[in-house]
Amino acid sequence: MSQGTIDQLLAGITSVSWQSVVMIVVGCGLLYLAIARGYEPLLLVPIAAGCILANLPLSPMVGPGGLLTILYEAGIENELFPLLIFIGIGAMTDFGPLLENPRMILLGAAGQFGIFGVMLLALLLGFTRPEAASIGVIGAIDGPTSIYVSAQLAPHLLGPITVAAYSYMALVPLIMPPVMRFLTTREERRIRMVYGGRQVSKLTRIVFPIAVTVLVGVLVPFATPLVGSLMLGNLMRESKVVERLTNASANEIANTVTLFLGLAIGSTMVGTTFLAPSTLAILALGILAFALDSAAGIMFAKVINAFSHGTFNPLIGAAGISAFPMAARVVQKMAQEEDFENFPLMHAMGANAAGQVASTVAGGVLLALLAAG
Amino acid sequence: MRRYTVDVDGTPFTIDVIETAADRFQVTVGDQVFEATLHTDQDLPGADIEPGMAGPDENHASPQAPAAIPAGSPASRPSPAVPALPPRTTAGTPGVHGGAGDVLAAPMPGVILEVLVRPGAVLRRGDPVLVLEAMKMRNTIRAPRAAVVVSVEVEAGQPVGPGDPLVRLGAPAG
Repeated sequence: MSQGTIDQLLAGITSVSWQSVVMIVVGCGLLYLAIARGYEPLLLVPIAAGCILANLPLSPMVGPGGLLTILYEAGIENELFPLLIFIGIGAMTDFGPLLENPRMILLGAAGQFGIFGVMLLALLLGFTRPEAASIGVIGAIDGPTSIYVSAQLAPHLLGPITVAAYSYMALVPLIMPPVMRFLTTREERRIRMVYGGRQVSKLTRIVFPIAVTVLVGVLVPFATPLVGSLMLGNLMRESKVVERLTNASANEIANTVTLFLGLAIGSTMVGTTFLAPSTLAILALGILAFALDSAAGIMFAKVINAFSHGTFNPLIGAAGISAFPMAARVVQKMAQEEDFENFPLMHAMGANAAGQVASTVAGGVLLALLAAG
Repeated sequence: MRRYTVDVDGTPFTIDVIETAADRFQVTVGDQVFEATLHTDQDLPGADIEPGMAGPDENHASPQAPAAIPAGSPASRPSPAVPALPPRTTAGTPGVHGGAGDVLAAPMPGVILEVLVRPGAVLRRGDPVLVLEAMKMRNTIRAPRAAVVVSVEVEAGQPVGPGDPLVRLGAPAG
């Protein structure tokens, strides 16, 4: 056997680099979090698999004709997958609690503060404008929005940004409570919120997605794909005449796309680019963006509380982010710890649904800012 | 509970005040229920309090209860306009309503997952009574005060709306 043949047979072993070994360990770590700890398993299992498969030496799954590359080009590069996911989210989301209490939209807007705060910070740290905007969008706490924005602005950071966005979504119950406790007094947490159960008419529920799409589309054209997809799904849900399409969007399509999206994102986690100091900076800035979101939401809710004579529980402000419905549940849980007769859940759900809409708008605003610059 | 029967400009009102916590009161005016929170409690100079009210004093000796309603609370200034308000003002609050038996009401829409008590059960404040699933979240509904379960109005698997009666409570034995 010639030396060339031996080299070829052993090519897999000789091509192992320390970066690929580290990334395979990272992939296994994500698998552990997903399987043993139950952190967003639907997303982290495909992402981890994509990461491991892409980092195997000479992996034929990446590169021309490779499965992972095909998926990446089919759905990430052209933004298709996050938008399909948004149709599914729209089909799953009940905007009723928001429609019952429209002032919650203010909290949804306040909950996006972290995006812009961290974007400025990232600029100061020396990231370029598109990179800074992509890092800031982690503060949307919304996987598809983060992917949508960073795939356009800074595709080379897609891996760490997506991992940060999804990890922090999973960590909502750990990251939010300290911020909430730090910024509110016990008395504020004990403010009881009564839920009257105002009925929202079917007409309102149908007009809402159409009106939001048109309004946002005119104001922030860059947000049209995100808001339009989200509201298309919601329109199908609320119209109640296309249940097969609604169910397909919320289940089969969303599940299929989640698998494809996860694998494709995982394949961007290649050791040579992922193992850079910028990844650590992105993870740190992402968690800061999240904390700032919660803080801004709480502070704004305090303003509402001041205007409503102390009848508005500031904890609800923390739910004005996109992580639906986990953020609202965290609010309910903390309010109950203080006073077991307090049930602000439906109010928090309203703020949370508002956060869902607001984060897509914020994503569009970021793209518009960068396009203008 | 204390019951006050008052006349405001010739219009009679029956006001029931239940102390649900040291600083929280459930105030029933006619068929409307209000939540009142006590912030301060003081006797103002020159405000003569004439305890000339006639009404059943349900063996409750705390005389501060009437003054406990803060001035901003709707119940403290009952006017003829009050009965015109929609009656569901606080119907969603879990709590004890006066009238035909005290009711623990659903705080929000959802589905009853578990009923943890039976009629006759003796409850202390904070004892779990039911589990209500709302927005895919399990919520434990607890007893707002010491009481005996008179009847259970719902069963596991039943959907409920805000304000629906869940459990009727009676005065604790002894």
